[in-house]
Amino acid sequence: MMGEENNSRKVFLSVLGVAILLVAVVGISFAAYTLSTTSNEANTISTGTITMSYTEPTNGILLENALPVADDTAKVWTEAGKVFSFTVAATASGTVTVPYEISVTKDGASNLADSAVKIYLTKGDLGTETAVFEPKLMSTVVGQNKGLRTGSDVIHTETVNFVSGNAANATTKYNLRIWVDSAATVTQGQNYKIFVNVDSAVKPIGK
Amino acid sequence: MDSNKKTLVLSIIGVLVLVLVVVGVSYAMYTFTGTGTKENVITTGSISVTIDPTQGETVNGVLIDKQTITLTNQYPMTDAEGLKSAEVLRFYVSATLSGTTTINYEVGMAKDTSTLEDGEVKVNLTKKVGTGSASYVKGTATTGVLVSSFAADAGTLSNTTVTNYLLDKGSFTTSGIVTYEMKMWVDENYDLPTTDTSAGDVHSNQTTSESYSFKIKAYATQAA
Repeated sequence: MMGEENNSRKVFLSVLGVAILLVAVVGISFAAYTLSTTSNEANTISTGTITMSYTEPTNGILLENALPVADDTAKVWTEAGKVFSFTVAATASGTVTVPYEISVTKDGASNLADSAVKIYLTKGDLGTETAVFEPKLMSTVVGQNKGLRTGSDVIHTETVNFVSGNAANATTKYNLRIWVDSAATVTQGQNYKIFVNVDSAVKPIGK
Repeated sequence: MDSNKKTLVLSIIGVLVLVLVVVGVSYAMYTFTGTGTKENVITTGSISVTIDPTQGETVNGVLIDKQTITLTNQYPMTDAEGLKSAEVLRFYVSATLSGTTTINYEVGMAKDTSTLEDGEVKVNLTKKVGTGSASYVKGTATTGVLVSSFAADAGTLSNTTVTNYLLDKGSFTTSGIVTYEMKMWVDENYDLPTTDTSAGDVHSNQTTSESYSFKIKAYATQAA
C-alpha cells in the first residue's frame, strides 16, 4: 500500500512539473520589451497675417464745364473736387513682400475722347508730393497697361517689404488729377469718368 | 485502494488534456533518483530605447539638441525657400543593449489640433545612423513632401501607437543612436484665407492665421 501511494505521488508530481514547464515555454514566446511614447512638447508652424486697405475720400473729382488747361496748372490743383486723394495701407506680421497696383477703369458711358484727357498721379501730402505717374493722355493708358484687374489699366505699382512686421512705406497717400488736355477740342456736355482701383497679389516666398 | 485508483485516473486525464510528454512515469520495480549539482543559468540583458535622450549632438561641449520647432508668421513658400530655413526639429532614437537581441522601432507624427491641412504643410526629413552620413527619409536635397502624402501610412509592429503619419522605421542589433532632422514649411500652393473688413469708404480685407501642430511618437519592440 505504501508503494502504491509513492507511485501515485510520483505520477502527480511529474504531471505538475510538465505543466509548469509548458506554461514557462509558452510565457517566453511573448515580447520581453516594448516602448510606446510620445514627445512632451508640440511642434508648431503658424501663418502670419496680412491686411490691406484702400481708403477713398468722400467725394471724387468733379470738374464741371471743364475746359482745356495746361499741365503745369492742373498738376498743382489742391482744391476739393479737383484732386482725388486716397490712401493705401498694408500691415503684415513677419517678413513678407506685399506688392500692389493702382489702376484706373474708364466708365463705358464716357463720351469724351481718351486723347482729350490727361491723368497724373503723385504720392505724399498735397504740396509736398512726388510724381509716380507723369501726366499722360488717357489714349496712351486705356488698354495699354494690363494688370491684375481685367478691364483696368495700371498707372502705378508699389512694393511694401515687411521685415519683422515693419515697412517704411506701409501707408502711402496718393493724389490723382485728371484734366482736359490743353490741345484738346471739346464740346459742351461731354463727360469722362474713371474709377481708381487698388489690387494686390502676394506671391509665395521664393516665387 | 479505491482512493489510489481515483488519484491515478485523474492524473492520467490531466496528462491527456495538457498534451504533455510524461517521462519516466510508470510503475516500476526499480527506481533511481539522481540530483544534479551543476547550475543552468539564464541572465537577461538590458534594453533601453529613448526618444529625446539627454545626450545629443554637441558643439564645443554645448548640447545643441533642439527638442521642438516653433515657426510663427510663416507664409507659403517654395521648397527651395523652405529648405533654407535654419529652424530644424532634431530628435533621436537611441538604444542601449547589453545582450544579443534586435529592437525594431517606428517613429511618426502625432498630430495635434490644427487648422492647416495635411495637404498644406511640407516636411523634409533626414536621418543619420550613428556618425554616418545623413540620408533623406522624406523629400530630397531639393524637395519636401506634403504631410498628406504619408498621413495614412501606418507602422507594422502591431501597435496602437504609430497608426498613421509614419515617418520612419528601423532596428537596432547593437547599442546606437539615430538622429533625425526635420524641416517644415507652408506649401507654396496654400492661399491665405481672407475676411472682408470693408466699411464705408474703406475697402479692406485681412488674412486669418492658421497653424499646424504635432508631436513625435514612437514605438519600439524586441523582435520575436
